[in-house]
Amino acid sequence: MIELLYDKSRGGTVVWVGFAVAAAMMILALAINRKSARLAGLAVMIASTLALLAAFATRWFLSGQPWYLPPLLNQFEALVGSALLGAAIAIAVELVWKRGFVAPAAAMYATVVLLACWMFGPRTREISAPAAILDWPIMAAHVATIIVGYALAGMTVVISLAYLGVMLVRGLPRDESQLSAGPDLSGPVAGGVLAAIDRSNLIVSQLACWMILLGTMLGAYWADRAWGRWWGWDVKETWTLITCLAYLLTLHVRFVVPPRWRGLATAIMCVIGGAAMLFNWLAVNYLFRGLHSYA
Amino acid sequence: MRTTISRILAVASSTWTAAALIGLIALYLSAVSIAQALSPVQIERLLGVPAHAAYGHRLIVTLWALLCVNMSLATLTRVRFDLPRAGTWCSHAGVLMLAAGACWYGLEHRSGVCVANRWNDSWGQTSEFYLDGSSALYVGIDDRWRQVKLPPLMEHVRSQRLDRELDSFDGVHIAATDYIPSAQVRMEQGQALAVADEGGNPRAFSVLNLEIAAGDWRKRMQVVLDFMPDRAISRRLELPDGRSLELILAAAVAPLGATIRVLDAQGVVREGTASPKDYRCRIEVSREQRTSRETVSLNHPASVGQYRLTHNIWDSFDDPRQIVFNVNSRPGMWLVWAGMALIAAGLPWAFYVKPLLLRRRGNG
Repeated sequence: MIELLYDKSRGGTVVWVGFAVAAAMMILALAINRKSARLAGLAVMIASTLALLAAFATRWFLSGQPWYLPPLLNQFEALVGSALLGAAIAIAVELVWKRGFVAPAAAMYATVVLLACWMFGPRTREISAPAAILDWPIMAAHVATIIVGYALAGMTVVISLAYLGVMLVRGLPRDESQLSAGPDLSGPVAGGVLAAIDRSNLIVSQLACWMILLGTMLGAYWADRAWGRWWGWDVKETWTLITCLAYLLTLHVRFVVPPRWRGLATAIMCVIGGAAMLFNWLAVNYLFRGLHSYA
Repeated sequence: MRTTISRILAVASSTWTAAALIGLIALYLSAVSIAQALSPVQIERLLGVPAHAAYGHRLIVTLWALLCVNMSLATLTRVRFDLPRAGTWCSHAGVLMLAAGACWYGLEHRSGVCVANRWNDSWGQTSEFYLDGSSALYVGIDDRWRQVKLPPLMEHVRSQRLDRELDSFDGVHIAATDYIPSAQVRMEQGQALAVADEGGNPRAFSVLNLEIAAGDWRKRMQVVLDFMPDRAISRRLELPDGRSLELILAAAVAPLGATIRVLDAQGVVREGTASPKDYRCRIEVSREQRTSRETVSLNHPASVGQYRLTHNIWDSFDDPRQIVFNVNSRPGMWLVWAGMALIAAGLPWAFYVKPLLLRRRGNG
């Protein structure tokens, strides 16, 4: 029965509809500046996240994998996992910082990812036993952390595109209220739309940078235990390092760019970082041969 | 003079310099990784090193070193040493420690494989391993063998003239004339001859040309490089005095520092399935008249002196007769882990604790 339901929902990917509705409601709320619409959108997003969590738990149960090994081991599972974890983190960020831009970005990211899985998923949705070498808690932590990092990187792309879009319409920030708030979070909080989008971008890109670095380090620790070498310049490892460098560059450049250009520089660098992440996740997995590829 | 020095210092510690260096490093890494996957020959032609060594090329090492210098100067001259900025200090120190550990590891690390074989019901013992990236010529005269260490051949990507006396043994002189890293067989005057292949043929192999001399007698011959001596193709010839000479070109053998013997090896399956869950093997390690027992399983390596043993290949899951272990030394690894821990702790401090502390100070 559970298996049938899971299969009918195409592995839970049908939830993309819920995320699309949530994203539309929250974007509308931002446009008309209505708190009630934002809260309603957030509620739809929470419901969609819970539905996706149920599908994720079902897959975990059906796969028979141990408690420490979540189903994040092939491309389908990784994409669904990134939508789920990204949405969960965005909800938490939204509740703590109340920025208004992180949750819609996560909802849009989840929509795109789940829609892709919903359309192309059936070929890659099979549940299979993981390779024996992957059966270790630190490995599971490595994969989960990296996937959270990828989801956050995807969200920075959405937020950056929003910044670039608003900037195209309104032009570069001119008055104090539109200026990006300091190079890091210790700066004053400005009230303008561009400044608010930039602050959301900063929060998410900092988290992305930390998560990808942390995940890479956990991977190095696992590789050292599994193969006796902590770094091997595998094409995936190299591109993860490139992604980390792109985000570190983004966060450092903010300290030297004039305030007027800070948000734009961050948005462009985040798009580059996101492109590196996407190349690493899809192109490296399918086009190149390496330890991490599914090719 | 002071102005010039302060200008140099300002440029060397500038964030723009760091940004330029990070950008160049990212560009180099992306170009090499793509070229390595698509056409390793191009890297070899452009950088003059084998594709796998491109990440250790002096160009990228210089960029990393400059970034470390920039980061040290920037931290010392621009970042105040106080509690809110402890995260920045911590993560920058972590990167430097990680870099130092990686250098130490890169310079001193030794890796290879060690093979355990089973005949009938008893496992043989071994006290040596085959070193990665090394090469040696194994010379056997009437079945008396000796290992002749060779200069590092595998770092060459183009044919090299060597003209080097390798060994003099029982009146037999062996000299290496040249090394062909990428060769293919061609028939010349009715004889198979390995000649240089510059076309990046994936089935090309490496060959060492030798000249064997005994008194006035001279003979040229080619030996093909293979990793494990017991699997390599040996070349035999008869010397003028009737003795038989056998030559093998393979990885050099290094002492493990202990003798290991497999006691038992068992493949563990997942409950209710036939899919492998673990490869578990118990080994006996004898070192300086002390014997201990260790278990090597997936993600759980065993320590043998300065080396760490992990699984590489089992020839069969159910009934293994040959087990290949990875052997790795771990110089500087404590520095690598310490650096990573500092980065992992420093970043959230710099990102989230610093703003809180500064805001609290501002309010105070």
